[in-house]
Amino acid sequence: MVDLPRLAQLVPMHLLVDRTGTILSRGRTLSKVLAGASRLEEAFVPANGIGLGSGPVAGDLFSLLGGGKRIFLQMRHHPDVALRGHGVRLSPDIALLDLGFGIGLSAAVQTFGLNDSDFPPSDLAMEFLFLHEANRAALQELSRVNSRLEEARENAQILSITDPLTGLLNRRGFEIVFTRAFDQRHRKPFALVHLDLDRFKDINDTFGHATGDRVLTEIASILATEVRLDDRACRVGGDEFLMLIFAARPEADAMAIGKRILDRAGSVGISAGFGAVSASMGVAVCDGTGVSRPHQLFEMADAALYRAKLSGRGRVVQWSDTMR
Amino acid sequence: MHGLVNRCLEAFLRSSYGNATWQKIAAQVDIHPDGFLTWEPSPDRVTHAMVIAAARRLGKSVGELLEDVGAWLSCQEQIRRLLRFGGSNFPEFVESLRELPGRVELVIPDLAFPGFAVLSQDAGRYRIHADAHAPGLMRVLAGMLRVMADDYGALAVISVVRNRIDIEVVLPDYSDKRGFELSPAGGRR
Repeated sequence: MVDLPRLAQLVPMHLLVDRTGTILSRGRTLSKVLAGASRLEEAFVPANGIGLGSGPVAGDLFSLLGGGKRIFLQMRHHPDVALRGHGVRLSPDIALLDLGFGIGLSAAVQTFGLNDSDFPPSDLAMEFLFLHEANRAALQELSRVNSRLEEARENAQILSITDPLTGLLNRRGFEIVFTRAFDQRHRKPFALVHLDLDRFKDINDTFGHATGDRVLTEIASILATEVRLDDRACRVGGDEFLMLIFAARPEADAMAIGKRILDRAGSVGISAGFGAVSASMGVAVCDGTGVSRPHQLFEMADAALYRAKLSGRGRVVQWSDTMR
Repeated sequence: MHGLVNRCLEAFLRSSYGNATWQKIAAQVDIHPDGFLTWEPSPDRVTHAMVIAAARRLGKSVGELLEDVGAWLSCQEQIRRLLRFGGSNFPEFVESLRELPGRVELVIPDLAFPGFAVLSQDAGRYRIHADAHAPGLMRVLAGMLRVMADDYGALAVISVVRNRIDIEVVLPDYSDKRGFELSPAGGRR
């Protein structure tokens, strides 16, 4: 003989039903879930081939009982909660089901305000909920690790293309932006400016490398502030700098920027008697016509720079056909 | 040692004593000041050196420091919640500790959390024995137990000697327990 109150305590998710769909007994936890429902069809909608209510209902349900078969019962008023379990026939007209929440446990706990006393010690519900939260905490920590690794990767990438002394792009960084610019030269013309400080060796030899480094840093600062946001400036080594000036008429803009740089370079102080710092610049334009290979553009800028040096230094010279 | 242990120590030191103190300790034992980036394991001596250096700098014994680590861990809401899944009151929680290594292994299989036995000789009296010789772990666990006793509103006497903890639950319901819902605050995620 089944003692129903004790059954309700021992098996808190049990359901005792008759063939007509009437709920005869329910476990204490299932009482919270089913509220006042007295018949299967009030609490559940058909699922898993089970019709509910009178007539064929119970036939469907009863035919699934026993033999280790699983049954699913979808809750009528809570679409995200379904019960699953198994059952046995106690008599031709009475069935005993033992149900659980399955993967919908978290949803059920929240929906019905369940607490740890609603689950028997033999149930793995607490382990499931523990795992659910523990995995989330572990994933948060892993996500933090990933963010830091990504940050470190970005920093390393920036460092790999940055000149440590001046903070400008280094040669590697310049090659990246130059390759992109050259590929887009037909729709986005630009000028390549090659700048070389005048008599920089004398500065180093006379005042030492610390002074030389300060001059390089100040010149780099001038370049960085004179070029526009889309332009690029880099130090390719020693006292040599390269700039990419993007404009609809790049030759005019490059010449103007070059002259402004020359003016400001004169204000970089070294020592009384040494004179002003100056630079020579060669400009070559790349607008999709005439230049088909990158090295041609560098040779043109270099030739213009050479002409600037030969012409007395401290000037900006644009490449022309006469320099071939 | 699993990287998570080192990461835990770093987080404890940063949170309790500030980044400057952490960086001094890290410099002393030759750890990168940015801390432990991943869960990669490191030689045990790194962890031991860090604990010893931290204890010296903070003027505590190693045991006191490790108990503080345990207390700090239990105060972290995510950890506190995970621990509260252990039972509905403090005695249940203590009894459930025998399952803690298994639970930890479910989430972080390679943590190699040392096992321990929970013995109950009389009602309200428990003794926890570490399986391996793990006095450090017992200190951390003792710190966690003290905080969790408060969390459950229990009055308990907890003493730790080497790899053994003795617990006497004087009053299981001494004061109000802190709230704990099976569903975390903020709803379903």
